[in-house]
Amino acid sequence: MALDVIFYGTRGSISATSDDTLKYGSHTTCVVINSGEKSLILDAGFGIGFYSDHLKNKMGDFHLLISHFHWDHIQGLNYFGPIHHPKSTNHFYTPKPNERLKEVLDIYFDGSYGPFNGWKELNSKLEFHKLEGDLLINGFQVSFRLLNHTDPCYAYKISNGDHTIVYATDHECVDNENNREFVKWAKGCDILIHDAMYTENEYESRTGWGHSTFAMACRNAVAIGAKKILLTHHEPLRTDKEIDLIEAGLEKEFPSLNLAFAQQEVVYKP
Amino acid sequence: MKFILLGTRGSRPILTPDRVKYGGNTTAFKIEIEGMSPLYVDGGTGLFREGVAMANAQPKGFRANFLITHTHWDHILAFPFFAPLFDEGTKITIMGPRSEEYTVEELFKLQHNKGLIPIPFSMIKDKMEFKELHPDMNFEIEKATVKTVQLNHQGLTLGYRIEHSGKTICVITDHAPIENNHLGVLMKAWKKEEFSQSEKAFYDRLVSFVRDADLMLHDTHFTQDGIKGKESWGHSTPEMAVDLALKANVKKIILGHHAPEDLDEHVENKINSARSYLKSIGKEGSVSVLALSEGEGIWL
Repeated sequence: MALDVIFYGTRGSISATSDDTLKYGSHTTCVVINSGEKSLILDAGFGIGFYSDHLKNKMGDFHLLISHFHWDHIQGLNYFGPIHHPKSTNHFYTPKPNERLKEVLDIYFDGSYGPFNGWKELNSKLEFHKLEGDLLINGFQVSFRLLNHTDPCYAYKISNGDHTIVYATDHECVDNENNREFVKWAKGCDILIHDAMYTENEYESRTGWGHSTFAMACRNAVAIGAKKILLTHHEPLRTDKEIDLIEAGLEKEFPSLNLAFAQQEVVYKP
Repeated sequence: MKFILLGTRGSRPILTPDRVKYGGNTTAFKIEIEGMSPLYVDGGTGLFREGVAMANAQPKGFRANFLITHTHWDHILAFPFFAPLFDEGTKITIMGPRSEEYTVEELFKLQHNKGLIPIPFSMIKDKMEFKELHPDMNFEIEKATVKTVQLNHQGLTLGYRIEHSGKTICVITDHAPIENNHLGVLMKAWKKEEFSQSEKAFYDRLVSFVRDADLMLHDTHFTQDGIKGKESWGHSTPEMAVDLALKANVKKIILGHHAPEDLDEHVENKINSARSYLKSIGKEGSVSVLALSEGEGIWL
């Protein structure tokens, strides 16, 4: 069965909208995977609000896989229509303790920070699922593994039976044991969605911040044998023109790689 | 005195080709007064690029004052990424209302709760000084006089009046109609039998607060149709802004807190509807109504 990957949020850290970021987008992280009528939502940055703008039906069951709880992966939740719909159930999945996710939502939905009164008062039903091992979620086979980040962050491998996507943001793919295991785990995926935030220069002063350079991500894709790599978690100020140039440079450096910087709203297929 | 819009949007940042004219960043304004450090109102995503520009222009010893209308996310979320906070010698003063549960400082600190952002609060804490503000205050910030008023919004939300050298700017956001719609914590103390009287007193106080202002940035999140049934969301319409301006002899209104749903053409429709409203009541030309693009400013 066909499988679509759509980015509604491509940016890392913060959304700082500007007309020079229209192509690659400015909303913080949110990726949606569709297979037939079924969908999975990966992370809930401001992109999830933008996704919600496109959702005709805000009623039903929604499945959200959360990589970690940094704000740029959580901050859009209040703008996801189904979270306020009395006939919706929002399922949250993470290998992190559910209790911690609830504490994070306690802060996010505290009445001090918005016109709400705690997540327990939301109109929709929230279901929390702690991932312990591989799980079938809404028709997708899902497995997870730890990445290299400042706070434990998880990659997801998602398959609809015909195609496999690996979602790996935020990840600093230095050559360590964990990344070598990650490479083995992700081996041969159809689409690799990979953190690629920094230039080589930026990385020098940001080593250990939990993000990769473009070239690091591409080398990982080569090692994995990914059929396609979509680079994401763009640095907030990176302009469309800069990304176009960087992309052209990478295509020369990695001629065997089918690579692209993730663009807002483009439908990617294996 | 110059008033600059750094973020024009309410609720959440949004970027599409049909929204670039009025901008997609959430609320932040800058007031430049010659001979004093920049004065900002709020720190939504519009503050992020400003921070980078300031850090580049003045890498050491940056000083600024911030007035916070309230601590809803769209008004504060850029602070952890405000570039001067990572530079030597920076000192910023953050002034605003507390929430029912937390002080302003606690609310800023909570943003940095473990695992939510890779920047510990302790890293930037010494560069920030917090002062709690209440309604009905009157104080000086360097060369400016600042006054506060309670607005009708969830929790404690303050409107600001900033005066300098005979010119006045008022910032009235976020703010909702008061009739049968009491959103602020202070309104909770009102006695039911005195509601209409209290509402009138509240509104009269707001009118005197903005009286004779040269410029008023006003929450105009909704249209007259769009607000129906959503009064409790805490926002206003262009017509409400016009009514207040007319009663208080305000000279100019800037529309603000555009809804994320608003395309550029919708913002233009709001300007037109405010102007037609003025015409329909025979007050054409009494108040000028405009919306500015992100980054645009106005001299007073």
